[in-house]
Amino acid sequence: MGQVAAATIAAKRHLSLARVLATSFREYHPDIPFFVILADEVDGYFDPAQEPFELVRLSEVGLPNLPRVLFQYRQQELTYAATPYVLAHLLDRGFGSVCFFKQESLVLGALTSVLESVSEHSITLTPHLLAPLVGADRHERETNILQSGVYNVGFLGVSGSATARTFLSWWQDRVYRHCRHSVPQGMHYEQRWLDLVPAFFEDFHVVRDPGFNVGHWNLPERATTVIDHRCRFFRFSGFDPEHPLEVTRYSSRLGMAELGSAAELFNRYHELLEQAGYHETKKWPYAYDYFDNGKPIPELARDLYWNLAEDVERFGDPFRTGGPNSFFDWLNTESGVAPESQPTE
Amino acid sequence: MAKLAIGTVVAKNYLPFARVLAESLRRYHPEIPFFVALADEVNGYFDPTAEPFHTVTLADLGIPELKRFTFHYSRQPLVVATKSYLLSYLLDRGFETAIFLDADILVLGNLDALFAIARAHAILLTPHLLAPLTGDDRSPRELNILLAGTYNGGFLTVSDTAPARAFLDWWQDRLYDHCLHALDRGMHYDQHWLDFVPVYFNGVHILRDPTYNVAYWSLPERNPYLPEDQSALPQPCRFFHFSGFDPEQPPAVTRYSPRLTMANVGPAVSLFDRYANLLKAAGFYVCKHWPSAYGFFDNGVAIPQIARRIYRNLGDSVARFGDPFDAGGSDSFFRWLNYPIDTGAHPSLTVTNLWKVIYDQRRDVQIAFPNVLTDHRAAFVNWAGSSGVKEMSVPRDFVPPEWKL
Repeated sequence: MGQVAAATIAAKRHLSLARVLATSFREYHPDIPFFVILADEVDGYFDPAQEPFELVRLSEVGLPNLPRVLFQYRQQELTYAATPYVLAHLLDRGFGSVCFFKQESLVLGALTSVLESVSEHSITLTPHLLAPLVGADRHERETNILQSGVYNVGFLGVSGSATARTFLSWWQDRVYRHCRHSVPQGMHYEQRWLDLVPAFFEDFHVVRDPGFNVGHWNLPERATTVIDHRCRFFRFSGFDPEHPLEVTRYSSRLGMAELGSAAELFNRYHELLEQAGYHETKKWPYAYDYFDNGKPIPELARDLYWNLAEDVERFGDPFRTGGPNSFFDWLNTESGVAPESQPTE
Repeated sequence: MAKLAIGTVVAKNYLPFARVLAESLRRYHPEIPFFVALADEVNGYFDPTAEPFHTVTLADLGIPELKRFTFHYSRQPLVVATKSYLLSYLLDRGFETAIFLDADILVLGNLDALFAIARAHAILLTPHLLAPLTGDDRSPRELNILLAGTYNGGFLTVSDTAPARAFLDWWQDRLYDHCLHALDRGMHYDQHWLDFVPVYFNGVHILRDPTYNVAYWSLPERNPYLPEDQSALPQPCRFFHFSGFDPEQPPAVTRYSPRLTMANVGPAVSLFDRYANLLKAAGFYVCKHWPSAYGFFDNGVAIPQIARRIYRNLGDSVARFGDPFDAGGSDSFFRWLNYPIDTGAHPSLTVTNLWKVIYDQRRDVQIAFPNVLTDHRAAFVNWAGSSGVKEMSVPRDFVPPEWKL
């Protein structure tokens, strides 16, 4: 069993979340290196040497044709699409196994048994739900999970086995272009792809510990694991410190009142974020929101670029605005198709 | 040796498929009882005692509020939802292992090895795909599987254990009114629900053997298991699943995808040819016209999809209607659909419950007629009687006779 690495991925506006996660992880596992992969540029906003983690630049993790990926995806999509590349990169560095954590989460106890599972199995996954739901909203809650994927990427582990490598190569290939939120097309970022893992790969392990990867989708059922301190990993998916009384922006189903004393964990997390510079970092710009002439990239331009698929190779670096054959110029070129005549009043 | 049974579900227009499956199974396993649940009524169209299988009626299956269940769905989803009840029924009859096969499956070899695996596990599922695809269309093909569900609902097995019973209870509950094709809501009939099974229940075996349940979605990858010479028996492929195949559309392999046709499907082409002939010999052209018993109200009016949807969405409150097929009663669902939502409007501007629900579901119609009960009432009624009836496939029986159209 080789050495374990832990990692998350964040844009710098979410640096405070990564700080809180890294610090909470190191409290229980000080011997395991924790990496934060910056899906962004530092641009002088912070000093990586002062952070409670080891910073890795996105350019180090081997995304093919990086400018294309940075342009075709929005910030959240990019952060998620980088996941399998980050895992492979850390294996390439010589780690025996790698644990990935989503940035908006908190380690609340020693993860020893999960870390063992990760080193013993090629792929370790955590499901959103461990048992059928009950209650009048059981269908709606379960079909919501079917839309986003049975397994949650709040946590995912890989070992350095050949199967794990094959899995990562496959996942990389699929999310390189298909890491978007498009439920009617079977896509939910990087996560929905994992529903194929039990069919494609042997030696995957499903963590069935109700105190591991607790989040709004398995609340209030698992609130007791927080209350009696069995919860060792909590994911604050959709929690917005600007609206600290709401559990998640993704669902109005739950209020803090339904969580009982587990709601105190949200207060604690909120305080940790504030101490970690939440209000400062949230204003930091995302480096890939602008063409190189400083103009903001419209959402529509990203979608057009994505739709062009392999055809975008002819533009070279899509952020470039000077010189011939830029995507920027192409956007501003007359299409050659006559505009539809406007109806007259 | 534990007792084992195999079953399928059909409406009577698919009877030839069940006959062909029964005969193909009997060739290799005459000792295994084969049950066909009829998600329909016989209504004199055929003689169940003359068929090569044991016929089970919906009434035998212990489905709660059966009239309500049969009203929820049109023919295909009703057939699909029924399988979860058939499996419990077979376990209740004392079979220790029950195997479901879709009616459009053809057995091509001995299944003893499969039976042994089925007996050893509470639940057995087969994935559509067993390995990452290659080729330019790898992502769209895999995304299609993600929409449909990782595991194929056309073949599964259960053994009478606590996890299998818990699985069937859960699946029945979900399929009772959520056996829908609604990809944007995460549903693909019975099938996408199965993605939860390996997580929810213990004793689940994912059968990753390429010789079972071969179908268009796993071709050409599984061509090596389909020999060129179909007369060579037994074949490596133990059973083939002709999902979406229509013997009357010969160039198409399946109605669900244009990717493969008889011209490029490879060695399976002779299998499709053989299967088409078997279906025709088993009465395909006769049975395909047989109507579903649950397609009409008891006054003969065809039940529109929108009426089934409204009924499903009403949930337990439908108890007040009694039998939903009964059009005549004073509290009938049929009458409720045609009941005006308000009084005081001129009869020619009557808006019924049915049309109000359609309005509430159609964002585009709301935008066109925002003040539907006042200023835009006449325009909405005009749209409903002209375009609405066509767009929503609503029979004329749901158009108020006072409308001036």
